[in-house]
Amino acid sequence: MKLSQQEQQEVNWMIAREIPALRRYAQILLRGNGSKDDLVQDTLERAIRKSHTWRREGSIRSWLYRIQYTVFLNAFWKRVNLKEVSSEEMEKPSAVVDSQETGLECQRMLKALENLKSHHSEVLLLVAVEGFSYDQAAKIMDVPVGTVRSRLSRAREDLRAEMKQTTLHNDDSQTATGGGES
Amino acid sequence: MNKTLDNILPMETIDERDLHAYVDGFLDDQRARQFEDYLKRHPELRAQVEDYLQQNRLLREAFEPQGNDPVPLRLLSVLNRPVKNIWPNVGKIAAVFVLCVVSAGGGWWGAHQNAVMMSEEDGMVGQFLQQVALNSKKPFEAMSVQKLEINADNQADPLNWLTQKVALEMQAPNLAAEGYSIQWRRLVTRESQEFVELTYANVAGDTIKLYMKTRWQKEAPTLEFVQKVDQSIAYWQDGPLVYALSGSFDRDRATKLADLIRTSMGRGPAAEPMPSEDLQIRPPQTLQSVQQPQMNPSLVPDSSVDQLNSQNINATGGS
Repeated sequence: MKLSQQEQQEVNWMIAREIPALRRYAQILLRGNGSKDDLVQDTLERAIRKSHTWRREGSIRSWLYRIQYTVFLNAFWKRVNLKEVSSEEMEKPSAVVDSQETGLECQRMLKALENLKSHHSEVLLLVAVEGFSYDQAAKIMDVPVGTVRSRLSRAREDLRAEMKQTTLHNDDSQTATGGGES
Repeated sequence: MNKTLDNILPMETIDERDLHAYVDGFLDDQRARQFEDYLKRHPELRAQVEDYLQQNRLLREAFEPQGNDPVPLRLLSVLNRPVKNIWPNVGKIAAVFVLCVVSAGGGWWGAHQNAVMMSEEDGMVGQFLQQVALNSKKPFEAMSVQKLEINADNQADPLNWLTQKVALEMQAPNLAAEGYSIQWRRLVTRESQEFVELTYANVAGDTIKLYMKTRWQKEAPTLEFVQKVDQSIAYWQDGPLVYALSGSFDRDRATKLADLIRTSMGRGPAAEPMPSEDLQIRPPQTLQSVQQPQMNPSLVPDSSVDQLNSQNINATGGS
């Protein structure tokens, strides 16, 4: 059933509040392989068309994320893979990190994240960054909650191993540099 | 340390679910305290938990700033589009399009009523409209569309592309006098035909589109007007460009908008009077030389350009 004009405006207002979060989630999904705003725009257009299906159960953000994830899987990813992405369109997650000391740790983390399987890192980011519950993440990704738990566990395990590896690598480099000076 | 807790939370009940739920803050206070006590007796597990907490912290630090980036206007504009189709019953439009020529009646157009029918001259406008129609007919993925987003120095503005093409300074016509503000602009390329599409909307949500394509025309422009029910296209050539305006408007409105566009583009005298209300319309004639455009309801702009300061929204949490 179509929404009334007033209901539509209200939903639109709520959706508008979620655009920054959608852009961040798009960045997470794309991992630098396309324009996040193209993905968000496709998501918004679909959300507007489907807005009458939102039953006001749960947060509108998780509903939007589910749409965005579907758009990403169904169409966008194929298109991004097929087309050549210009350097301007490339939006690497690491670009958001500044050069502060904490930023260096973030850079290491993002680098390690790139080596994870995408469906592992997506779950991790939905939970860790977006704060979704496991049930919500399961709904967004349309998988059983047990799958979310196992992917989360695997993602954290792998990320931990990756981080330890880079730490060891850095330590080795510093030792080599320090040895030359002393 | 606490026998009671050990009784409540024996080792065998601890599994990964507790670990991740603790890291993600999903354990209730009592359970969290029990888990922390458990960690004190299991340093390896504690180190693992600390690593996972560090992961969460670093990931949030890395991604949260993106929630504060300015939101491009095109994304907000998606929400402001009228829900109704811009081109309803499009299948029927093609069969019964009728061309009317806006002629006498004042304004700039009235003074050039004897201008040559350019579409009958060389069919350029007809070809142009075909391009528009073809573009609107095909799904977006199949189109060759260059999405442009205006950046800080405005280099990606499709109007800059147009400026370079015609070696004249081109700006988006200001239609504020008619209550319209620009919503999106994009450069569309199909085969060898390129044109700029500007989308305007008023506060009521009515949308009109202005298309501009390079084409040198020395003769005085003639406004041509095509209408079916409340869907219209007005188009004309003026100097280096072909313009086409689409939306829901009548002839008077089309004339006013075209005048405004012409004036705004610096093509008409500044003191140009608006067409008078008693605009005389030449009897309509059937359009024969122009291939009828087949508009599609899915004709929606896909790109825009302006940046807007974002609302600062707390993008974390949300669960």
